[in-house]
Amino acid sequence: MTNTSPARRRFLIGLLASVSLLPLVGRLRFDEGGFVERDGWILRRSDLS
Amino acid sequence: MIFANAAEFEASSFQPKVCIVGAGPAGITIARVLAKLGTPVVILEAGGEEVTEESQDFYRGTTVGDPYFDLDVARLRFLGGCSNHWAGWCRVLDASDFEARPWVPDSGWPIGRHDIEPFLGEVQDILDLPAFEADRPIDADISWIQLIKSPAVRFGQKYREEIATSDRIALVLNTHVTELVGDGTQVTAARIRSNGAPARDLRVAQYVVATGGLENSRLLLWSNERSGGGVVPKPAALGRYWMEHPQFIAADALLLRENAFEMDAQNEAFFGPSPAALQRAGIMNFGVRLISTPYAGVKETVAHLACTAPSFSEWASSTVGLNLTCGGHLSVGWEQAPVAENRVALSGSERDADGIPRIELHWKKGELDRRTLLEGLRLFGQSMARADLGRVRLAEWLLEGEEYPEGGELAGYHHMGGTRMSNDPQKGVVDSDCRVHGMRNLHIGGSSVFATSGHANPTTTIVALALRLGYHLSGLPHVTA
Repeated sequence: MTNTSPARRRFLIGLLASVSLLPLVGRLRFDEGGFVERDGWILRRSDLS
Repeated sequence: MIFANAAEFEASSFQPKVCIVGAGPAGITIARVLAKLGTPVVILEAGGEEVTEESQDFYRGTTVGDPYFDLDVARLRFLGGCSNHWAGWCRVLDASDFEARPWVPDSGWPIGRHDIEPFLGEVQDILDLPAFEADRPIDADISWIQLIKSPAVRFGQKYREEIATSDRIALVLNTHVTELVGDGTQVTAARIRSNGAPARDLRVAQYVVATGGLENSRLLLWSNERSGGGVVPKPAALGRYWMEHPQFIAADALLLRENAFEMDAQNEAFFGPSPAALQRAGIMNFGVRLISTPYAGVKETVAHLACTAPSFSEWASSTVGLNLTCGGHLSVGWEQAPVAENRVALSGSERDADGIPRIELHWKKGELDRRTLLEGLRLFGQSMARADLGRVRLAEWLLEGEEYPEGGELAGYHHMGGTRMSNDPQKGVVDSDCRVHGMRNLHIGGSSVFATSGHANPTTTIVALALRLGYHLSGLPHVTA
């Protein structure tokens, strides 16, 4: 995949906006290197701020 | 010259100095080197020119421990050997794979990558490979690595004509060695069957066993048992330290930056760790394969990420909307820890049509294997996040410490170890020249000599080692005399 079509972009943004309202649950694991592991996702700490 | 059986060969006046057992990538490569340098050589191939059920039946066996492929499916017993079902993926073992690592018991080869590098140009010609490319670091821990998806040379096809017209190579089909006979210092004869019947013993100056990463151990175990230790006089490691490349899809990735790294024609990319990262994590070497998924799969991954990190998802939603290139599954193949208990043994109850014990393979993944998968993916995921190339989600089963999933990739069909290379006969069967410890005229070709396995697909290194062995043999006085 290279370019995102406008329709697909609108769909993705809508999808993200809707699910981002869901409650936060799941495991949390802090790493010494500034990373956070939540629900299996390996994230930067800033991803959660 | 190609002979259909041992009787035809015996009727010829051909006098070989070297006998190579097995016409797979290693055996054919060694024979071609010897012939090129003037040494007459005979290759004994157990099968014919096509696969048959009757021939494959000799490869049946059992596995004790973790689930594994049927042993008669995991390898092929006919001209060209396992190159006939090889996928063609090529990469040489890393330089660090050869080194002893304090956190990996029994690691370290008696040779280094520099010992096979002089042969890599010839390996490219043999395997029809483009130029090898250097790793491209993403950060200090992880690099994009080249894994060549080659045309998958079928050695029996590519080199059949060369062998057929050679006056220095005799390929004898449908003929296998049932046992080597030795006196504890040298092999004195190869006992042979051809087309299901006994043939005359073969006596030459040098013998090379190149029957594959399982069968090499089996032939030597059986020969050693029959000769009372006369074939492998220092057998402590014989059959042991057997290794595979376990591989599983164990994570998903969401990529955020277009053209961040090179994807191949199948929209896949490969990554590997730095030696320093492995040392810091205390794990084995591993390779990460990014398998791009269709749009539907990406959508599901994005939704899950948004649930986990809403604020990140706001940023991601804008980034995704503009730049989302792809997402994918992450398949990890890793270097299995060398463990003596993982071994090829002779079955106490099952025998083949010749009455020779079948293989009983003892194989389990251990704690270090599991830790390599988990911590390796953490290294990869952190590098992707650090460079803002994407985010990685580890699989639930991996995080929860559940069993490895069934029905997945399982392993790479890569059979390594069993006659591993070591200067210490307690830890290995062959020395740095692939010569069996204590034996003047017995050498081993193929991945059974791997002391450790790295994560790279083994064929490239097998061919490099075979070239090295071929040139070594050609310089021995009783071979050249």
